Amino acid sequence: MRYSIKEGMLSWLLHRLTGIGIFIFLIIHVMGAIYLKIGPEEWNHHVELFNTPFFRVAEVGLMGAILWHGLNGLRIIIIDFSGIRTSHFAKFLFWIIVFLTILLMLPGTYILLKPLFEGVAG
Amino acid sequence: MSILVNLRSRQGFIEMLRVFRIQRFNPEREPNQWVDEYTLEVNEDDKILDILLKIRDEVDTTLGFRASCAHGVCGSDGMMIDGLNRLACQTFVGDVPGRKPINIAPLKGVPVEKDLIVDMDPLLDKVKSVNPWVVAKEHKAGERELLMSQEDFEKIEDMTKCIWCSCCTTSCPSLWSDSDYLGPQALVMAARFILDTRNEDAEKIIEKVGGLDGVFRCHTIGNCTDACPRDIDVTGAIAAVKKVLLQGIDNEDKFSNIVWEKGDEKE
Amino acid sequence: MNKHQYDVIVIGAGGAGLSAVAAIPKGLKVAVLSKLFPFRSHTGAAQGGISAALGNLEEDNPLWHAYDTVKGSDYLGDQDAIIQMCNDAPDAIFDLERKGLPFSRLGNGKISQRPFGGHTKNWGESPVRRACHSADRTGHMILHTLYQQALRRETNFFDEFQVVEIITKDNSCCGVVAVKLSTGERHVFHSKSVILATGGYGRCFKVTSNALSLTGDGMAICYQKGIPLQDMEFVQFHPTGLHPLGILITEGARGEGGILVNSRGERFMERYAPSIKDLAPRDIVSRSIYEEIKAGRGIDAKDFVHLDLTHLGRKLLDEKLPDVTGFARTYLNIEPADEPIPVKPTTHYAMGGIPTDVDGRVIIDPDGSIMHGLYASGECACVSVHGANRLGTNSLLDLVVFGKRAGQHASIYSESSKLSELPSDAGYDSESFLQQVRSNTRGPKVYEIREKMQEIMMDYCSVFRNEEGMKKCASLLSELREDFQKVTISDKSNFYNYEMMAAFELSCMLDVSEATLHGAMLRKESRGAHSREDYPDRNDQDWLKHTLCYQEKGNDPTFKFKNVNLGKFEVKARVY
Repeated sequence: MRYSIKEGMLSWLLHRLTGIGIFIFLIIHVMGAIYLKIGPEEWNHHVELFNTPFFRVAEVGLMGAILWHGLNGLRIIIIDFSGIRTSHFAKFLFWIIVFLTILLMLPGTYILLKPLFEGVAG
Repeated sequence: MSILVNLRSRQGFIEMLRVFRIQRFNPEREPNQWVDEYTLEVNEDDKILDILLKIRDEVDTTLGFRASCAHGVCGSDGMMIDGLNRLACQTFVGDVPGRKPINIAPLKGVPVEKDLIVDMDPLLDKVKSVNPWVVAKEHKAGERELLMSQEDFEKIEDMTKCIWCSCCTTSCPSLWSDSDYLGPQALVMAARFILDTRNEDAEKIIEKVGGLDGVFRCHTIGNCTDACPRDIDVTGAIAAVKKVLLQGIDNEDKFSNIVWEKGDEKE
Repeated sequence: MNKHQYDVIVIGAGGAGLSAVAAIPKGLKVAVLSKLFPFRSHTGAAQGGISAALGNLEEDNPLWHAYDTVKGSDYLGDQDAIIQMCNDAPDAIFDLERKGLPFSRLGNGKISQRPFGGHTKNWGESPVRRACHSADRTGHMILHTLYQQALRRETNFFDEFQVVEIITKDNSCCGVVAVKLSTGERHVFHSKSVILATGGYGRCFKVTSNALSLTGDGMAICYQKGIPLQDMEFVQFHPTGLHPLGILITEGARGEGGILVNSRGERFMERYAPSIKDLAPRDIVSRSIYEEIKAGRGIDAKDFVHLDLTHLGRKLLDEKLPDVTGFARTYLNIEPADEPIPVKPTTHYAMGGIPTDVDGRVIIDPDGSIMHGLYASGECACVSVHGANRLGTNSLLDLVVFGKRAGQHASIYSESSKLSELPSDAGYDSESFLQQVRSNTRGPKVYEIREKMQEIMMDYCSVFRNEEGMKKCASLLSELREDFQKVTISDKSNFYNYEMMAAFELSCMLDVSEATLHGAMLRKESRGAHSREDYPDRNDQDWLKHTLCYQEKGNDPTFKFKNVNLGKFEVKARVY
């Protein structure tokens, strides 16, 4: 029998998962810098990769992960140090950052995904 | 195993049939846990504890669970009901909405001894390890109470409500993954005794909760606060300990433990 | 069989047991046995406060406190013990405070106090603020504070050990036999002294504020060994139990200004106790509620009245009475700030118990002969400071003061005496009882007998009693005792066998019920909590005396009488 997942546990699970996700991205990112050593051609080819539709969508995910992780980090700091009774306040903040994450993702998503649709249209 | 039980209804009318799925464990009988299903005629306002007592009295006398006061002040019957830790005596059939089966399981993260009975020793050891007591100036003959302001009392009042039911500690994902973590219950006690203006040994407690298995294992998840049957702001209490570790004790003791002698009454 | 040796054994880890532990010097080997975890004990359910004439808010005097207690006891309390308790009270409070008990405070930093039923100033003139409290969870704070200090002292706790027998030899006690619940093993605790602090027996009645564990074990195991039980006919019914569950709503609610009203919205206590009204002692308020119900003025003509707290305001309720308002919300879905709470009397406290002197030593006959090495304190003991009716808050005071005195005296006794050898038949009685229950086949189940017993005790032996009803009850009870000989359990294992424990507890409840019922039949007067419809008046001529009830195996119990210690306060009519 499982424990039910409520707001607090969900935010913590997402925090962990996004943390792992961001960590994996950082490894890929740092490893990519090796191409600088190999040569300009190879580096350009490597950067081209990020223009493919797959990576564009993945970058939307990355942006979401970073936003969630950052905002949730701030949320935890606020809960720990505001001194406000936590139960309802923590849940309220959870929904605030859900809202903020989605809001902040909208323009970024537009910018990241626009070329894909332009490609289709053009 | 599934059993249909006919219970005499207390109010004289039957509202509904509900299924209770109880996680069982009896190492003398079987090495693994199993689930027993009981279908009972119940009312919305029946306490889960009364249903467990009824099952133990009339159906299966080997069902193991602890209970004593039956109204939420002793903390014996903490268990996981419908996926949340709570006291069986404070939870009603109607608290699990709809007609779905009501799942009842022992507290998580500690060894189960029998059915819904868990081994309390690891939990108590955690609490004991933070020195949960006040070390005040000795009481000499002729001395009256140590003075304390109502505000200072209210600072610790919430935490003093703790009945040691362990619903918080066993709802904590940090504890499930690391059984050495002190856990919410011990940290609430730590907060209560660190912030008590009369305690002269608060520094010792601060030392004990600052370590690797201490307060910074708390990820502000908040399961503990939701689980607390006494409505203690558990996460808030842990946050208060974190604050003390970062900023030191901020106890503006209004009376700085003035000893008030007998005979001073007419001051 | 496992054997242990200690200097002092404390049985029961509630307020009384832990107060005793706190009073025992560190050099002595102490073990505390409890059938629960210590912090589950029912002291934790006490709400309103603990009285002491501190005079933090207004002039007060320990002698006024003693006078109120004597009057509250309907003059059956022993006055020397009462004066002792009230004199010790302030220091006991200060001692608890130093141990870390978080009392509610006044603006000047002193301990806050509030009025409580039966506590007055100037010899009964008007209510006085005497009850020290920590919001409305005073008992919880006392229990936890004492347990924390016991942890600090590194006390040996044996949790979840059910004591089933005391071992006695030539008028002295040399240990106990206990069963470890998790394994069913029998343990013999051999010691120089034993302190019983096992609490009351509210579970003998159907509606009670008591925990499931309060089954009179300590009293019964003494009773079975020929030790008398004193004043068992006096059982207190708390006027304000949550209807219909019987959960306690503290008298502090009336102390803060709550009033009882009947179906006409009338504050009926004005008629029964004109001077202190709703703050009259519990026996009077409980009877008044039943009088109202009998006269058809119960709410909706049913068997309850209303406790009205609505005029106090949400802020005061949340600050001063957070727990009881919580109970009303949780269990009845009622918001006490907006609606009155339905209440009715609920079985609450046993004034009677194992007779002791002011040092907690157990007395075995009217002359005051001592059972050496055996002590009792708290609700299971009868010192007697509560006489025929206990005042609110005095139970906590009783267990703190007399728990400590028992601990002190037991230490002195243990330091000066040697371990006496265990008798060869130690533990034989309980062993044969448990064996018999285990071997029975085809008989009634434990709960069947228990439920019947609780019903007949509630019907015939509660607030109002009469000869006819109690005779019927006596014959039903002896039938139940016969049935109990054949009681059958289906769980034969040794592993957390709650059914076996329930059978043992039932045997204890049957014993103490018998003592209560026969005591009530014997006492042909109305005094304090004992109210006979056929003898409505107090009769000081014949009945100003304690009853000592002795068990006769297979027969009705026999009684002896013990004098009441009077002296300081004159016996008068009891009007409020």
